[in-house]
Amino acid sequence: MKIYGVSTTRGGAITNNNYTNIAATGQDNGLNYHYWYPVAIPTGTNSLFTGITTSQVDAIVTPYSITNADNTAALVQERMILIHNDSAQTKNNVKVLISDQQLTGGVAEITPWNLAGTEEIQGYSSIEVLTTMPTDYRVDKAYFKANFPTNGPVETSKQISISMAPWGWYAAALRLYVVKDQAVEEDFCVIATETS
Amino acid sequence: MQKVWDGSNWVTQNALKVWNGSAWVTNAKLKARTSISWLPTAVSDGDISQVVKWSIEAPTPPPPPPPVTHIVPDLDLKTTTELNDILTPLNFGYTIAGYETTSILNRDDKVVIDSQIPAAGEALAEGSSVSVKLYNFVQPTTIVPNVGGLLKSAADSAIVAANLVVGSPLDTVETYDGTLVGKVVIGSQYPAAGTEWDQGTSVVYDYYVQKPYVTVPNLVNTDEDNIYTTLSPLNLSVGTRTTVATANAALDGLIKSTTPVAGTQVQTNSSVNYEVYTNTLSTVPSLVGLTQAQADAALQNANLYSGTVSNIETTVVANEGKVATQAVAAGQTVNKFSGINYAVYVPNTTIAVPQFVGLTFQQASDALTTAELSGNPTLFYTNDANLYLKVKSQSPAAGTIVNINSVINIEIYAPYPTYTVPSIIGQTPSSGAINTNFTWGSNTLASTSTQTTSDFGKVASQSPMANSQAQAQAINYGIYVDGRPTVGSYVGQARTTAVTSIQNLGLNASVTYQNQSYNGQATADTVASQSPASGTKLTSGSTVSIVVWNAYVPQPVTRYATVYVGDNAFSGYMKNGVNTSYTGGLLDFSWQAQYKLLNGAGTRVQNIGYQRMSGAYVGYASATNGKQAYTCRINPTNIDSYIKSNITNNAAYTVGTVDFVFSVGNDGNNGKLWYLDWMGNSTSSPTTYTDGNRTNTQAVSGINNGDTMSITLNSTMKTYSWTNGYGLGVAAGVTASNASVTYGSINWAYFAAQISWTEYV
Repeated sequence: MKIYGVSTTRGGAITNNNYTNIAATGQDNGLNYHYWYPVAIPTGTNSLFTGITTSQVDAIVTPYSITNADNTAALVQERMILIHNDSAQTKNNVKVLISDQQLTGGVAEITPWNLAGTEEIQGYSSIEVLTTMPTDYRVDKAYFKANFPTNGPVETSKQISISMAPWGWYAAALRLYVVKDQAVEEDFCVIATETS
Repeated sequence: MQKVWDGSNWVTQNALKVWNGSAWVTNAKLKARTSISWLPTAVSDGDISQVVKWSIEAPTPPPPPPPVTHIVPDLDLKTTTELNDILTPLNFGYTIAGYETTSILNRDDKVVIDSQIPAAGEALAEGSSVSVKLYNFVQPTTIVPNVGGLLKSAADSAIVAANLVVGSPLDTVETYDGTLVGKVVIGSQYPAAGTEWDQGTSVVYDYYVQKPYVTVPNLVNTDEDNIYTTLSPLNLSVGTRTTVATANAALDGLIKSTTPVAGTQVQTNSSVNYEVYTNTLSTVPSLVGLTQAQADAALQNANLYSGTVSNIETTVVANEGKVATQAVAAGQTVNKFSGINYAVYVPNTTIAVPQFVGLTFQQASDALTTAELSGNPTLFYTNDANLYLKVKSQSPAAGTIVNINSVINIEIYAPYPTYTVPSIIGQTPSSGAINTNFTWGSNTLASTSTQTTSDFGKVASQSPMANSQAQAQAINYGIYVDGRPTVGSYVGQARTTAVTSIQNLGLNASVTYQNQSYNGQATADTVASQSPASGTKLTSGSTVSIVVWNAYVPQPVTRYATVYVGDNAFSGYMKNGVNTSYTGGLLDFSWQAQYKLLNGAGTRVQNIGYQRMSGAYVGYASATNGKQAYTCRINPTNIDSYIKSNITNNAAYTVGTVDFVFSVGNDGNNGKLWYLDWMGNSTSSPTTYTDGNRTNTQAVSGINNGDTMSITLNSTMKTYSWTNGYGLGVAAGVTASNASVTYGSINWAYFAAQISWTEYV
């Protein structure tokens, strides 16, 4: 299994911005869309998420709370990530989850694009998996057409359980909330897959 | 790595310590409960994990809690020990901001009043300090004031004001100087002015007091020898001695006066000056009238002697040999044994010249005789008659001593001499002498006009008059000037005005006349030109010629015009090439008519006024219509009225040729022969017109279709048709056969009469 971030160009820099802020790549059948290309998630601080400033923290009225089912008020950043079955075998029980994080300063949550027929990645009505070489959906060939807009409800989920076909792809959102308690110079989370 | 807010700053907290049951350990892995699971969760080896890192800045920290405050107590005059006792329980400290000097010993090292910051009563946070100042005792000093020259009261005030004490006792210095009495002696004070001493130090000084006076005793008429013994006990000294001479021997040696006078208050040791009588004078006796021997004896008796004896001449014999005057008047005092000069009368050889000035000549002559003098009179001329024959001056002057029989020069006032004035009339003015007594004056008299050109500029009058008697002088004069009349400008003036003006100048006027070349050139009987020109000088009686405009005589001009009389398309009036159309009025036909001569008895088939007639046929057309005729008539009265109304002043006019003009229609053949007839005198067209009525007066042949025939009426036709206003008929001849070429038509017709008249312009 592999986890990727997205870029607007093949082999380009990871999109270090809320994908809803990126200008549309084009329009098709009346819908705007983005083309996304999988790129490795860099490990440096603030390389996927940008640093969160004091003014952003101060602007949050209701900080993230684990008991709050709707923490949208504390949402500060939202990134697309891609889960890829980089094998020729079907993976029937794949979990994608935040395996660890500091839970101080910022809280990351992962959300499937589609769960129980509901588009969860806010703004996209559909995501098409495309390839530059038919039938070959490996990482250097695959790209994605994410169509929008749709303002569907944000039903957060902290764990994704999916079944992935050989070389299959799954789109999810990685969201960063702020708990507004203190400064953290190097906050982190760990995104992990768990197969059985 | 987190940061923790310590109340004032965010500080790095590298790791939390965790109690693991036996010890506090750092970097222990903790698990946290999320809504899904405990973190971290185990990940199988076959799976992957991806670390995502970010940083979060801290929220703006909460404001620190307000500090605990207390009211600052009043710390005035507290010692530092007391400050600690007061402030420590309040968790306050104190700082010493500085020191202030005090002269009050018991304030030393205590808090300066009102110096604390914050002030008493204000709130201050715990842990803060109160700033105070402390007193520092210093013995006060002062600068000794300068009291020299001050009044004692002012000096004492100045000393006290300087926090010093007036010392005692104070010494005094006597003085007569009133400006110093009561004042401090300059330089006497101690300590000296300007020096610095502790406050409360005594200052002593000397001051002036009044010194007593002594009364001058009365020494007048006391013996001079006693003066010292009198003044010395009084602390007075003998001053200047002055002698006063007297002829009274009894006063000799007595004091006449003192200075100051008796009773005067003077300063001790003052001097008293005095005068003392000394008998060194004699009284001069009266010598006048005494003989010289008597005079000498009188002087000797008075302890005097005769001085210089001089002589005074006298003309009185009885006085000769007696004293005339004495140098010192009788009764005067002089030093004893002085010589007294006196004069004795002797017979005279000189005389003092009397005053002659102002006397008449006779009075002067008498005075000269009396004074045994002779006169030498000379004349001095004057115009003041009041001075005539009076003495103007004399030499020698009055009072001069001269020998008797001397000659006295006397000036006598006398009138100036006069001379016969010469005549300068007719002479050319000049300058300088005219003769011995008269000279040329200036041209100041009024000039005299003359017409004699040779006299212009020569003397015409003089003052004084010639041959009169006058004193020698300059003769002023007046000269002849050009008095000839000046010809004026007469052009444009009325002839009578110009002639009168010329005659008023004493000139004659010669008048000739000139015709005007066009009307309006000039006003008749006004001057057109003159000779000679304006400004010319002429001798009286000369002639000025003027040319006068005649009145303009209008000139006859023959005017021509053509009068058109026809239907309403032609009527009009042409004058000077300008045709004036005239429709429906005086110049229209009075009527037009057409007749069929052979049908019945000349039936009138058309009858209209001035309008254009249509189908006006002439000649034989057919058996049905027979011969036809066109007729028309003008109204000579209307025409005459119209012509006169268009001629200036309704002047008479002459009718020349009268043309009858008609347009031939395109009916019948060319070469037609018609006749013009005059009809009866009728103001309306007759109902019948037959061959029997026709005259065939003027034949018109060669008539072709389309022609415009202009036929000059012969005299008969002109007389009847134009002059008399009979109808005019156009028709074939009475005897014309039906076969002859007569048939045709007339489109229109009119008369064109040439008229002329005379106008004067």
